[in-house]
Amino acid sequence: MNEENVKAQMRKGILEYCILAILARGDSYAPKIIAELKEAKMIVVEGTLYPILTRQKNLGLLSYRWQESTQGPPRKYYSLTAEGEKHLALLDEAWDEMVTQIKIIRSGATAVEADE
Amino acid sequence: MKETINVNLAQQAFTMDKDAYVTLTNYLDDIGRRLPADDTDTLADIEARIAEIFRERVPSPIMVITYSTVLATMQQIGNAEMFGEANRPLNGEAEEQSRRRNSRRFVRSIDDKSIAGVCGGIAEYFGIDSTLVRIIFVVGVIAGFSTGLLYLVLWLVTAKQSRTNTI
Repeated sequence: MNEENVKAQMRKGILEYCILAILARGDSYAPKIIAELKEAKMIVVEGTLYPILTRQKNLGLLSYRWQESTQGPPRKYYSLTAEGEKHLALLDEAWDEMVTQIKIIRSGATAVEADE
Repeated sequence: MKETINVNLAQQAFTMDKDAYVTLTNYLDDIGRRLPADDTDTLADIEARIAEIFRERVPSPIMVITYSTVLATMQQIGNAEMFGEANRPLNGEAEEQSRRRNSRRFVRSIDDKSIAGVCGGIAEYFGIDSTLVRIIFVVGVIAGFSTGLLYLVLWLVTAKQSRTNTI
């Protein structure tokens, strides 16, 4: 597996977390979320986002409302539900734990001496 | 001079070149068949986004959406393959598949045979291992079922596979 592939796999799993984290800062609409994720180099193509938004909405983590826009048609504004906030808190915890553990492993503190 | 087509994309009107229209239609169909059957939101969201990108790239409503605009937009959204494995065949493929299924006949195999190719034929028809079919037949005979008789009947009533079929 090359480096790009590894990065793509990691990004995919983390993307769902990022979307919830972005929406925790305030309601947003898809093109704005895309712009943020592109800025952070989390996505390259835009299509990645939409199936995830739909799935998170169906899971009850997000809800949306239509809001008039000054430039063009109404926009779908997404916001975190109470369920979504709870889920995000769990992910935050899991993320911190994982980062700590990886730090420990990379530092070599867990290295076990070979028996031979 | 080129032929154009008027379309309604996410409740917005666009005039598209015919090649641009065909390309976009195929792209959306391809994405649609890769999304879960109960997912109706995603495709509508993507169409809305495509409409938005068209407006950004071609701000004047009297300008035509060209093939190159469609290609650039598709690049921005990403390959259809990204939306997962296709769970429904494209329209053309569906017909092709059903035709292939209808043309499938049960014939005695001429390549995969121990006696007359009946077991090989059954295996080929159902797409399973011919050894498994033979074991079932032999166990049937030993256990006293009439699979031996069944074998003889199938031998008599089914045609032998023709040579041209195997290529």
